[in-house]
Amino acid sequence: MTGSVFRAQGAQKIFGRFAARRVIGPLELDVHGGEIVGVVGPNGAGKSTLLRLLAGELVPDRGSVQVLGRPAATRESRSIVGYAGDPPSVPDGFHALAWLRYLAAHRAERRAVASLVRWGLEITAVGDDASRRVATLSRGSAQRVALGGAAVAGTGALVLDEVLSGLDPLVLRALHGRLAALGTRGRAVVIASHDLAALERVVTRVVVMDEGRILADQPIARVLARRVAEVAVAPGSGEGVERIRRHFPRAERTPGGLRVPLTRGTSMEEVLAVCRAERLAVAGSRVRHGAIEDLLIAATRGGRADA
Amino acid sequence: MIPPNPRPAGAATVGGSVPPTGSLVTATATALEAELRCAMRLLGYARPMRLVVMVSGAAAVALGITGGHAAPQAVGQILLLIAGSVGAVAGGVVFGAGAPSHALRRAAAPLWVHGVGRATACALVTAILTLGVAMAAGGFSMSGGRAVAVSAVLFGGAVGGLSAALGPRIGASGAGAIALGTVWVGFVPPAAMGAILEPWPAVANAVFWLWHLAPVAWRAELVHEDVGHGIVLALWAIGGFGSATVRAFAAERGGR
Repeated sequence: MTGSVFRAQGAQKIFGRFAARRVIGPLELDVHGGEIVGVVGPNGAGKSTLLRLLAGELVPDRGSVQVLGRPAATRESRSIVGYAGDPPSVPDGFHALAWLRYLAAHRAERRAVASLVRWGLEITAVGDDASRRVATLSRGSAQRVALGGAAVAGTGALVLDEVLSGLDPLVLRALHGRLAALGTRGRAVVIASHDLAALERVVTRVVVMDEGRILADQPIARVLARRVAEVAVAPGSGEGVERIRRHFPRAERTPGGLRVPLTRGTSMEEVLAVCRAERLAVAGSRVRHGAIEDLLIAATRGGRADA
Repeated sequence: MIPPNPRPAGAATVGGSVPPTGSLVTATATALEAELRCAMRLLGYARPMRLVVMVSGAAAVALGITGGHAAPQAVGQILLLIAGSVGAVAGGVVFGAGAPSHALRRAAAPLWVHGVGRATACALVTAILTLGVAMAAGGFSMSGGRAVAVSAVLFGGAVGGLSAALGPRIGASGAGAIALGTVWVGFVPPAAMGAILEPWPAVANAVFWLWHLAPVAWRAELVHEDVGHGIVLALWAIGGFGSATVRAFAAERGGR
């Protein structure tokens, strides 16, 4: 299964009426088997709406959302897609074990239910908390239970909303491997998160959203292959920084100096040479690889960032 | 440790909820059992349900103390009140908007599995509580006591159907409140209700028809005299739980 698992074509969702009317979309997105797509954007960008459309929890008002060629909000599609919402929507009174057992009973033969539950529990890694009510768990643990539920229920695709939030670094590290494993064998995974550093380690592709639209859609390799020059300047060098920015129009001010994307033949040596020529006192400099954060900032500030 | 991938043998892979190699009957039985357990868990943790259980227990104790001296009609009405209250709460809880409906959508079994599984749980709880109170009150030894107890359970199912049908639309609390209302004021027969509302003919007409259509208690009192009333209540139960399942499974269409 390496074809299109999720396909959104002109999908649009409209909330509210009149002055309170808010439109998400139109959205165009293709997610193939084996891809792990990270969806990032500011609060209210429409990430959760996109994910709920993909999971079949919402029906688009215009356009279509399909899962393996079928409308997303059908029983067949939902039995393919595992969805972990934000906040996790586990019914009151359920503990992790009961929740996974409930979902597994709909996805496995009777003799295989226990092994599917065990498999799900390994993903959640909640340990002794498996028999505690989900409502009493910490946010991070509850998110992991939701992830385990999505993994058990999702036979061909996972849609995960903020499952990486609120996790301690050790758990997060363990979860990277688990998510990567879930994304193999042709399964498609779509993750929305504000934790950009965590996403960088997991995803194969990044989608940036803002104001209900997809502004950028790039492979993570391309994002990380970019290089950025970061220059720290002496305090009170504001005018000097502005002069440098005239030489490099895509440069941005940072609290300690400026950041210059090293594209189109621009090199760190060239940046430092311009600083010397403009008599700007450089306190320090480094070249770092690009990050999702750079793409997010570029896309949300300057419209579609496909450059 | 990275969990094994692909999924364990016997678990469904891409293509649907029914496992690829197992027996369809066993798979369906497993899914039904899961729905039943899910509904029981939902009911067990719902605070209004605990309140209803406490009230039922108190009623059972009170009727037990009277030692069978209570009037048969009063016992019948108490049974109807208890069955209706249990049904009103249970129907809304198992099909409430939010997590109960979300669970149903993510499990994505055939619709009838969800409907039958959850409705059976409601019926079981209603029957256990109602028949328990009936036993404590010595209702089974009264003349026609068994018929009254059975019609009370049927009434509980009908009210449960109404509550369930409203649950995915307005939530468990609102659905339960409306259904409880039909239980408590529903003992007034249509003719008496018409007489009460006589000064307001338009309202009287509307309520008169509503009283003939809704699963109200006066109808349940007459089930043992006219089986037609029982059929109406059964239709309410089936229709209500069916509608609830379809509604809970439907995706949200948003607030446009």
